[in-house]
Amino acid sequence: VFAGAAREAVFSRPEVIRRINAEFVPLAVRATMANLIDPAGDEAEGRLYQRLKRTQVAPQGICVLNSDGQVLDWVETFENDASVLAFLDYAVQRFREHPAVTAPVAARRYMRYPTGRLPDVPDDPNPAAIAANHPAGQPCPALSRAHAAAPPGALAAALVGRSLDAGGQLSTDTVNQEHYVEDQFAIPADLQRAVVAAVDAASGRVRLPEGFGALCATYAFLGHIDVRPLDNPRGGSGERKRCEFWAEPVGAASPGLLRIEGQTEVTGDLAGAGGHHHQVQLAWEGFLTLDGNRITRLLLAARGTEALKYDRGQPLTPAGQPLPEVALLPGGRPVNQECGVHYGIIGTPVPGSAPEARAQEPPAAQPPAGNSPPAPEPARQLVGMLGPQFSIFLPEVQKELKLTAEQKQSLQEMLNGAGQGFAQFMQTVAPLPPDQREPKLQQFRQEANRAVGAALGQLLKPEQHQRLRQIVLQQEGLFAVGNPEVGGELKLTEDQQRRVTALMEETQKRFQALQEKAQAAKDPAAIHQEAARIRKEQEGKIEELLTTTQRARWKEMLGPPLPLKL
Amino acid sequence: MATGALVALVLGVAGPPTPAGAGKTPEALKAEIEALKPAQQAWRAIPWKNCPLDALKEARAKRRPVLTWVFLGNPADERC
Repeated sequence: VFAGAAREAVFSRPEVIRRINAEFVPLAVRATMANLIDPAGDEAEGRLYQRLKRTQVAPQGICVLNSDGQVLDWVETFENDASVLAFLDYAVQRFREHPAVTAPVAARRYMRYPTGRLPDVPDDPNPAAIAANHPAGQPCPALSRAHAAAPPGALAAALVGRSLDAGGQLSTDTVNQEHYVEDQFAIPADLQRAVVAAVDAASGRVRLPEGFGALCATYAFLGHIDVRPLDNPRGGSGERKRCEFWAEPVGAASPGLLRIEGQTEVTGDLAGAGGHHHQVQLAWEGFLTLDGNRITRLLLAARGTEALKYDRGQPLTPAGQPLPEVALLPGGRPVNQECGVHYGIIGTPVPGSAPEARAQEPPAAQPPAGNSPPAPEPARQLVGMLGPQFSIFLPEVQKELKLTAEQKQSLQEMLNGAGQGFAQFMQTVAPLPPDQREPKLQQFRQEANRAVGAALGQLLKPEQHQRLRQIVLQQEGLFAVGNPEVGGELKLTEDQQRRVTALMEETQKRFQALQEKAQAAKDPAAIHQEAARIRKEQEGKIEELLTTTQRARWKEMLGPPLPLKL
Repeated sequence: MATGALVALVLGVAGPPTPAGAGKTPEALKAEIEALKPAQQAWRAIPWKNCPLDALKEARAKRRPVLTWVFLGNPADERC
């Protein structure tokens, strides 16, 4: 929410825009880079990100640098609207005092400017200017990550949506996302092929695959990313109550052109502080142009109604007045509205995505309408893909650790970033064969765990950290004994360490053989039961290696069991 | 209305809905969608740089501080 709230409350204000354009060099940096989750392109860029990471108040924020890349100031929120301009004055003055590297300069940090100052972070004792060029011929990796990009073969869909006023006219507010949204999403090649196959399968009017309408309905909503009714990054319940699209050829004079129409109704709910209720009902109309096995143009408009309640509470000043939006940037402000809405989607092929001849390959299998299994929540997906440390993002773990609202908010922002970073990574490696994909996934997993571990080190209290470690060990089971840190705590002998290593290698081989068998049988689901059996058997062998004292210590390290639904 | 059709509607299994915009052309619909976007969008008035080293280079040339916005998502062109 921070990015959207800052865009609305700070960077859309005319006087702020004028001051930034006249007195600063504006730089937009993705938090995944500034938090060292995505790799930097070279040493100079990496040093700058390390400075940002070392001095930051939170994973997202506003920072002022001098022209040699020394961090002068960080700010997270502002006391009021006037404080934003006062901060710009302050930042200019700080820059005049320290325009370039001459000596160490401590980073001044504000949770809220000007009253919420945090301890300074000292500079490097021997600060050096950061080079202002990438090595010759090396492109800046931040440029390619700066904008959303659909993968090759996809249809890039750009969505715009506006609320309607009581008279049915477009709202004049085009800044706040509960009234105006722009978004992008990709219609993948396999879904395009399924649409073509559905059209080819019958003459006249045909029903389109549910995945097509589901995708459109997922993105057509007002508000920031955290109030998405379907597949919400924070979890909660989402339901497609209605989703049907129909297509009909326009006529022989316009080959490949189809008129489409549809009806969708979706709801989403997330309970508790910061939760939401969201309901969107839309009637769609538009056109599809097909060429070969691809959609080459999509035009869709929708009208309907929308109800949105975002309940983050209404924090008050000591005087009992509502806090201004600039004081609420990490979580945004409450929203409660019911209105008419109007959406539009224009889809164009990603450059280089030439259509192939139609019906060269079978269409992707579509799940029966209404029977598709619910997708796992993003946090649970990350636990499954990246490891048990990511269970910190699960609500039941956060409850067990008795996290504060601020800690939960910080974790939510981390989860959003981690989810987006992982999705982008998977898009990059998806086309690779398994033997090339797995090492990259392993490297990503290690880097993500390192970055999250470092962030949790700052965020959690010692007793919370201790309990999280117990929960992580419960998920890893006795395979954690292979970790030198855990093995050290259990005081494994050299012989025990060697035998544990051998057992883990044996386990790895058995899992690999099982995976190959399942792939050959084209039935990945069949391996789960067998994998559980192998795991139990191998863990039993490790337990047999431990002494009575070591087993007792291992039990202590696990703490009280916390079953997780993964 | 025939009983069968009424039952189908109540159960939400009615056949394809009647086209509402049958007379609209693709060009007219495209113009309608494009009209939803304002001519200018406030947040796009700031020319954010994305390469940090390029920003430092300009900061040195213009003798200005770098105002860095660190964020999740793609606020330049997406919901955030």
